Amino acid sequence: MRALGVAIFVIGLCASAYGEGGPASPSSTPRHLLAGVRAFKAAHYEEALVELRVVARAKDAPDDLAFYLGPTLYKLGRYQEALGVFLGSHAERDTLTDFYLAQTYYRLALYRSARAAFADLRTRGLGPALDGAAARYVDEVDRGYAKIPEPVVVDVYIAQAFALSDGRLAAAYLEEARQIEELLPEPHRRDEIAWELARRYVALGDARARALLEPIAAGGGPHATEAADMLAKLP
Amino acid sequence: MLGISRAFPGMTAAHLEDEMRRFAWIVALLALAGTAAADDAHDEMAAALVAQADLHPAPLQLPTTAQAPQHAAPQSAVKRGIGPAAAQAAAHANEGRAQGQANAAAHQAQAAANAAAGQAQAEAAKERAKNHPHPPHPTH
Repeated sequence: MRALGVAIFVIGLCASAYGEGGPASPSSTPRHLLAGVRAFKAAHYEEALVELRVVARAKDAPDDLAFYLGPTLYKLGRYQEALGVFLGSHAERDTLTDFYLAQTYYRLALYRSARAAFADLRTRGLGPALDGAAARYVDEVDRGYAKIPEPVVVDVYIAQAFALSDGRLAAAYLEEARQIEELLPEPHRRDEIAWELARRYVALGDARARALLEPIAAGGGPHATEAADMLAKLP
Repeated sequence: MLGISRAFPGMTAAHLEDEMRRFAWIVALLALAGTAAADDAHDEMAAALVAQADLHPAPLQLPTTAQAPQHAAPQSAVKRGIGPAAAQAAAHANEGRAQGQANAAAHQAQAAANAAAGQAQAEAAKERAKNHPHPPHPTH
């Protein structure tokens, strides 16, 4: 009888601890997360996505959801969505997530960004298999850009950026255009790229906006006044 | 403690202390189990990510060559929904193929952007029509 009383007491206390969102939350989120991971392991990516979408909607979704969701979208070939998940994550960066981010850049033909990400990963340290792969990606991009690209390549990326409504994705394409333009002997759309990129970074609250806006504001060009106003409003 | 003693008559303070200690262990074990489950998911995912990474890059194709029609006649390009300018560029692919393809890709991208703009305009027009279902007749 005494044991029963103690058991009821303990269960009651545990239940109250659950209610306060204690570490052993009764939420189904960990179960869905694990189900998503198991589906991913079995290459059932659609099923994994369903489970991870449930996790994403939960209040107690893990901070590093991009670690699970991004690669799942990547495996489904939904590269733009994957990029949005990776770039929108505020979790502490880890090499595996960044490896899949780099692969996503590559699949979206954002090769300069992919190269930069893979090169960075190699300096941060990868296991032998992934390091070898990162080296191959870097080599492939270098091979592709061994010859100076045509200026129209920059135009294509800018056009793609303009066609995107998601500011984060548009910024990624403009960033690619900026990096390619740096390779050209005679940059032809540098100011336009800087201005468009700066506007998007301002909208996203990205700190990189300042470095782009300062020369525009100081340059006295058509956007100088607007750039100065934006600079004044930056935190 | 007094409340608990009342709730469980016959229990001594030593017994209560014993039970509380057991309870603390249970709570600690539950917390550990929760953390372990999260760790399990993370570790399993990490292993899966390494195992399923694409270790060999697909051949790089700059947008110019990836998007431009390769040997397309203007008619077939139009059939595929590619703008006439892109088709023209493809038709002249033999002389300066790279440049032609690049132009085609640019036109294609521009056409896509124009199409998106057109769609947006059409939607705006629909919205206006919805808000003003009986536009005034033009004056003669």
